[in-house]
Parts: sequence; structure tokens; C-alpha cells
Amino acid sequence: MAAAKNVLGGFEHEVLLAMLHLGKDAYTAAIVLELEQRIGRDVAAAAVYMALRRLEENGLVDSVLRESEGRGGRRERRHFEVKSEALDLLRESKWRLMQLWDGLPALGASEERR
Amino acid sequence: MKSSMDRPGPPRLSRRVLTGLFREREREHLVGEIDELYSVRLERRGRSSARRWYRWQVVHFTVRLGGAALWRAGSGVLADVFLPTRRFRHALRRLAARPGYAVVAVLTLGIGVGGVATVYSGAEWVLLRPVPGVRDPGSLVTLIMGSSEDNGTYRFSNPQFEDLESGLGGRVALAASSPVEVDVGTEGGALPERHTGELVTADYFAVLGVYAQAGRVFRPADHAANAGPAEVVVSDRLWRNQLDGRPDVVGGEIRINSEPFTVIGVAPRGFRGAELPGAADLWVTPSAIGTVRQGEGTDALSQPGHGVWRKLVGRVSPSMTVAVAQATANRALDAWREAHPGGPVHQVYRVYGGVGLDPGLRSSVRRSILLLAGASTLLLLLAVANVANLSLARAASRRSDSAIHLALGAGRWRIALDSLAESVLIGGGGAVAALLVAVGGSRVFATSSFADGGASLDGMALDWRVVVVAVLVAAFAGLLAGIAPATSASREARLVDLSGRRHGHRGSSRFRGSLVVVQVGLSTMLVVSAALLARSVANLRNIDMGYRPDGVAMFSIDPSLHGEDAARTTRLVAQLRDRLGREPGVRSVAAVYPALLEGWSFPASFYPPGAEKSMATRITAAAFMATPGLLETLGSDVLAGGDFPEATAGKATDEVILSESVVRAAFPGVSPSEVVGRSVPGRGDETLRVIGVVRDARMTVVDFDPEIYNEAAVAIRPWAGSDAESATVLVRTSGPPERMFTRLRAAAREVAPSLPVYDLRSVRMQADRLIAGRLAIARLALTLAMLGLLLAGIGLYGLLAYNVTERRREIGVRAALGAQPASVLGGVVAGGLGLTSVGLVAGFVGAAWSGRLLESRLYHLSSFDPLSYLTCLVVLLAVALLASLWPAWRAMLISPMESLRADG
Repeated sequence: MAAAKNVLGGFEHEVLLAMLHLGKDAYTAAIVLELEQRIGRDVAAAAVYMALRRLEENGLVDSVLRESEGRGGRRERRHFEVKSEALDLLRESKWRLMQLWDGLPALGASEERR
Repeated sequence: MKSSMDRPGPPRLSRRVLTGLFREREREHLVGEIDELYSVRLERRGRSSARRWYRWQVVHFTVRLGGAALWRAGSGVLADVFLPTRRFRHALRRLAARPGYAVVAVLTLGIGVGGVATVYSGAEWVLLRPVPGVRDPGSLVTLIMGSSEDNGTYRFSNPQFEDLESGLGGRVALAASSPVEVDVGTEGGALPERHTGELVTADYFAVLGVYAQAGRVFRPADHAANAGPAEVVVSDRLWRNQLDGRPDVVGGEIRINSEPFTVIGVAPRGFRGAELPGAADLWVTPSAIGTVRQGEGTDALSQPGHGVWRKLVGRVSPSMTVAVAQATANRALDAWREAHPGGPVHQVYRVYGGVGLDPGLRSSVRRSILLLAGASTLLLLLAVANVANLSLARAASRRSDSAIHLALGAGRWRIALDSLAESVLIGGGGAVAALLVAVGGSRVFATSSFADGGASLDGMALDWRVVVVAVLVAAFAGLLAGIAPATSASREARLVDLSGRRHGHRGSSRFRGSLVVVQVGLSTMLVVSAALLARSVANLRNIDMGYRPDGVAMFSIDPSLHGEDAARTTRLVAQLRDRLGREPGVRSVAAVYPALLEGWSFPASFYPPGAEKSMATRITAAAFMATPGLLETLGSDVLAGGDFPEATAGKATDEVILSESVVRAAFPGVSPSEVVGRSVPGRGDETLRVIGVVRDARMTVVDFDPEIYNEAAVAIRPWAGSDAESATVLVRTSGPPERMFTRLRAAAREVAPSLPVYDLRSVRMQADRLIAGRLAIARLALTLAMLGLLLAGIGLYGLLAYNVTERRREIGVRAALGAQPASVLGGVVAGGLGLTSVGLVAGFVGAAWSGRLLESRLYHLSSFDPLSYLTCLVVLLAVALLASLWPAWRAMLISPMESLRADG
């Protein structure tokens, strides 16, 4: 029944992107590590867990329990998969952001020069 | 590389917490995820960092999961309970269909919580209220001069007060006060009225931080003016009542004891002096001492041995504590003693924190508060238990509804919410009822029935902080009491078939039974305590006074305040006796000084004839002066001889009437009749002739410790006027003295039109004033006990009524099998009495324990007083019988056919 929300929260957005980077190996611990590695700061496992739960409730990701090999050895993990609804939302939000950025000077560069 | 086995694991406790957070089917793999992340941390950042990280993750999970759950539950409840008024309309309709439950539950909460709020407000009013108008009472101290030997107090002379003030080195600003009784009249106004005032040092108001609401108060600079202008500050009460609230009061003139005084200001509303309960209506400085204290001139102020000030109040600098002030005062006293050898040696300075309640009363007051707090808490518990019990019964009776709802697909959550909506309504209703009871109860407390005994609840107001707390408690209790039934309703509904019959345990019935036992136990404790206090007060009131205090009216006049001399006073007293004696319904009249049962008297000394006059042989007694007719009017027990003869009335003779203990000490082994006519040496070279012997009479106080001082030993001398400052007229009436008050006042006015008549009351009322505090506590305790009884009765009734409904079928079957109606009735009643007995036993144990707290407050009564326990037993059994009779009656009327058919 859960209709896909048409807007993604900031952190949910990041989690989805991290999942896409991981592909088939997207389980909580891996997502946490992926996010930390790419963003460069600590991420609370609970935040990722809650975001995944929310995404799943909203019908944006699917999950399946299966055994897999990983850092902690072979054990059962819940693997998440990005659904097509989520891909649509990601594409749309990227498009919106790009429309908004279009024509703006490179803020980051000018800030640094100051 | 190390194997995973010897790596240190995550913190064990945190891991256990984490495990508990997740649902079972998710648990293993989720904890695994965190462990996995932990091992990465361990590798990269080391052990302690990893462990810290792990703990933080657990906190994160706890907060987020807990928050989410709360949010979901909270928003669910909010949405379900508060948004759809439909749920409330349904709940209301359900309650209205069988209003008994709702009415009783709301009343219970109202009585319990409202009663507690009232009692607390009353206790606060008597004991704890701050002195109105006083700024920052926290930095005030009270200083009195006590005795190292007994409870007596000394007055400070003015030089000693000033010495102490300078001894405190400016770190305590001291002011002094002393009560005075004065007659206040207005220019061309009606009869003067009697008021209590205070003689105060000019910085009194400054030290207390009390400002005038109109005009000004005394300025510290007025202090030096021993012979300054005659100025007075009046109370708000005096201004509003006697001065008609005139706006031009400041600068106007009033007469104090017939002397003109200029009103310089009106004290703030409610301020009646630094004491509580305060009685002062006006304040004058020492320059007025000649007016307010007959026979004292301002020169008395400079004498180091002349006591003027009864109580000192001080404002301490922030660096000073009570203990430091005490130590400093002690040093000042030592220095004073050295400078003034030969003064009293037992004097000690006593410093107490704060102003208001008399320091001598504080410990007993603290006990009273504890007592009332304990009793109120019991009552509150009773009320909550009662509502819980009612709600449980209610939930159980709705089982078949719930079963139908379940069958139709309603969730358990919905059914619980239905119950919850009801308890929200009950809680709200209870809060409103509690408010009403508190408002009404405090009105009752504040009106005459309580103030009669001088219980100083007069003018009491509800403490709104107490009320707010009470109302919240009522609402919360209603809600809480509904939660258990709500959950049990949803749980039990599954065990029930559509006819409402339950399959399975009877545990909740047993639980309700034990709630009733607890209730009976609690109210047993309340009733026993109240019975003990009431019996103790009754002991005090029925104490053998040595005379008959009932049927006697009394009032006082004070001619000396209006410049009347002693001879005129004596004449006036004779005229009053004559005039009042002719009034129908008056049996006899006498005058006495000092006033009866005023708490003080003058000491008289006697010595056995022939013995050397020394401290060792001295016999002391309370000295009174009286006109002929006193013994008859008081109804004294005359052992020998008789009263003063009318022929010598008003003349100073050498006659004396002694009470038996004085006679026994002065004439050991001589019978009273032989003592009459003999002479007894008195103070100095005075020798008195005994003309009558009476039994010891409590004319000063009602109760005292005979080990310390026999206050009932009295010596009565003939009224000769010269020593009397005032006259108290006693009138024995043939009917209730209260009915005579108007006529007595009118008759007295005929004789002395310009003299105010004050303290017109019965001797019984006067005696009750002396035990007012204990009377008030006993009354409050009785009120609480009555409420407790009522609640326990309701609880028992509720349980039995429910049980009868529950057992309809069983009772019907029994009736069908030939059970006698009487045995059905007896069964229900026996069930009720059985529960009550268990509660009684538990309550007696509790009462025996709590009775020890009461011990010190009981007069001539053990805390195990069998009669109090017996009373409690009888009363509770009677209440239990009453509560079980109606349900039993209903059970008896159950017809076998009907109940079997109803169950199908």
C-alpha cells in the first residue's frame, strides 16, 4: 500500500547512492562503510538502519535475507536492492538539482578564494 | 594476522542491550552487522576507540528505535483518542447507559483527591503560610529569651535589647515587639472596640521589609523619639472594619485607650504582625508605652531590669547563618551578665530561622504535618485503588461487547482504546469533581463550625498550587486506573465467547479482592488514628476541671484603659453583677481577675504556719481575685467553708479561698473543714484567713504536666479593685449560654455605655481555644477517616455487586437446586465480611505501627487504646455490612429460570 514518496530525504538520497555503488553487496554494514569512505566522516549505523527501514516501508528498496561472504566471515545478511521507483526519484532529483545549479557560478571555488 | 578468536569482542553489556533492542527474527543478522563494523573500527583505530564507537552505536539505536516506537505509539494514541470525537461520544454513551460506574468513579476521585487538597490547604494555612507582606522571609530570624530550666520565656528590657543589637555587630538588624491589648475608638464614633496591637521599635517594619499600602510605616529614625508624637500604623482589617475603609484615613485621628493618635499609615493587606496566626491590628512605638500599658512610663524603657520586649525579629546579612547568630548572641549575653551581675541566671538567648509560627510550636507542628501528610496519602491511595477496582470490574462486564467487536474484526488495540477513552472521561470528570470538592471543602473549613474552637482555619483559602497538583493527580489516577483494565480488556477478550462467559483463570477477580483488602486496611489505619485523636481530644474536653465549665458565659471589660480608677472599677463590677443577676435565665454572676483560662495567672505564695519562710517551704498557687458568687457561678466543688460574704463585697479583707493541694501542703494531715477559719502565712508579713476549701480547679489552663507545676492549685482573694487591670464577668445561665450573648451584651451596655465588652463567649469555648490546635488536627483526621470509610465502602460494594453479576448463573443454578434465599444472601454478605476481616487485621497491624507516631500527641491515652480499635472494628464491619447488603439482596432475588435462560 505504501505509495512511493515523491521526495527523498537528504540522508536517504545518500544511502540510495551508496547502495548503487555497492550493487549486490548492499547490506547495512557495507553501506555504512561505503558512506564513510566516500563522504569522509563517521556515519551512525542506526541512522542507516532507520533510513533503510523507511525506504523499504515506502517501497523504494527491496530486501532479502541470504548468506554471504564479507568482512565478518560467512553469515546471514539482509541484502538491499534499489527498486526502479527509487531510480526514478534519484534521476528526477538529480535533474532538478542540475536545473537549479545551471547558470550559477562555482560557489565552492569563490568561497575558497576569499 | 590475528585470528578472530583472540580479538577483543565488543563491550559485553552494550552488546546485550543491543541484542534486546531488535525483534527476534532480525536480531542475529543486525547484531552481526554492528559487530562487523566494530571489527573494521578495531582494525583501523584500535580497541578503545572501537569500544567507544560501539557504545555510541547502542545509544544511537536505543534513541532512534525507542523514539520511533514512542512516536508511533504516541501519534497513534493521539490520533485515535483525541482526534475522533466519535470515540468519545461512544464512550460517553456507554458510560451513560450504566451511569453507576461513572458516577461512583468520578465521585471517588473527587472525594479522595479533593479531600486531600482541602486538608493540605488547611494544614498549610494553619502551619506553613508565609507571613503576608513580609519581604524575603528567608533571611529573617526570630530571637527570644528563654530559660535554661523550663519552657518559660523572659522579656527583654530595652537596655538589654540594645546591648544585644550592638553585640551582633550590625550583621543582624534587630527590631523588637510586644503585644498589647487596647481599646480603639474614633472621634464621635460608636463604642470603642477591643484590639490586639503591638508595641514595636521604630525599625520593626524596616527589618521585616513591610511597606505601607497607604501613608507610611514607622521610620527607623523615629526610634530615638521616646516622647515623640502619638502616631499609629493600623492594619488593613482595622481600617476596613472599624474605620469603614475611609480613603482619608492617613492623617486622621483615632483614640487608643481614649488618647488621640494620628494614623500615619495602613499596613499591607493580611499583615497582622510577624507572628502566625497574627492578631495585631495596630502598631505604636515606645513613645506610646504610657497609653498602651497602664502604669508604665517611658522611663521604664531605660531600666535594665524592666522587661518590655517579648520577641525580637532580625534580618541577617547573607554571610550569617542561624548558628553564627546564635553563637554571637550567646557571647553578647555573657558580656551583659558580666556588666549586670545579680540578674536572672537562667536566661538564654534562642535564635530561630524565619518568622511566623511560634518557635516553641515548630516541632509539634512538624509532627502534625507529617501526620496529615501520611493520612492524606493513605486516602489518595484508597481513591486510586477504588477507581482501579471499579474500572477492572467495568472492563470485565464489557467482555461480551469486546468479544463481539473482536469477532467483527476490531483490533485489540481498538478495544483497549475504547476503555482508555472512557478513563480519559473519568479522569477529566474526577479532576472537575476534585476541584469542586476542594473549593466546597475549604469553604466549610473556613466557616464557623471549624473556627468556633479557635482552630484558626478562619479565613483559610485554597492553596492553588495544591489544587493544581491535586487535579493533575485526579486526572492521572483516572487514566492510570484505566490503563490496566484497558490492556486486560484486550487480552481477556480473546478468552471470552460471545455470551460474555469467560474461559480460563479467575486471577483478576482475586486481584480485585486483594485491592479491597488493601482499601479496608488503609481505611482501618485512618479510622484508628482518627479515633485515637478524637478520644484524646475528648479526654481533654472531658477533663475534670474541678468546676463545671458548661453553662457559663463570660466576657471582659477593661475600665482602667479609659482612665477609670480602681474604686470606680469595683463599683462597676458590683453594678454589673446586680444588673445581670436580674436578667431572666441568669442563675448567678461573679467577676474574676485575671481572665479565666487565658493561659496565665499571677503566682501566689503561702507557707505552712509556723514554718520558716524559704524557697523550700514555699507553696505556690495561681492567684485570682473574685467577687462573691464565684464558687456558685463556676460550680466549684466546695470541700469546706464557702464563698466570700456579700456583705463585704468590694472590700479588701484578709480572707482567702484555697484549693485542696495548697491546703494539704500548708496543713499536712488536717481535714479541710478544720482548716477553715485558720490563718495561713502569705508573701511578706501577710497572713490570710482561710474561709473556704475547694477542689483543685483548672482556671488557668486545661492541661499541664503536674510533674512540673500544678496549675490547678489556686488561691482566690476577694475583689478589691486595686490590683485588677480588667474584669472578667462570669454568668451561669439556666439554658445554653450562647443564647444569652445578645442580652448579656445589651445589659452590660446599660451599666457602662462607654466601655467595650470583649471576648464574649462561653467558658467551654474559652477552654477549647486552649486546645484549638489539637482540636483542629483531630477534626481534619476525622474528616479524612470518614472519607476513607466512604471510599472503602464504595470499593467493597463495587466488588460484591460485580461478583454477583458475574456469578448470576451459578447462583441461579444453586437456587434451582433448592438453595435457600437466606443462604444466598448470607453467602454474599459473608464474602464481603471475609474480605473486610482480612483487611481489618492488616489495618490493625499497620495502625499499631503508625500509632507510635501519634503517641506524643495523645492525652492520657495509649496508642493501643482498645476502645479506639474496637470502635474501628465496629464501624468498619458496619460499613462492610451496609456495602454488602444491596448486592446480597440482588443475589437473593435472582430467579433460577431467568438466569439460566439469559445464559442460553
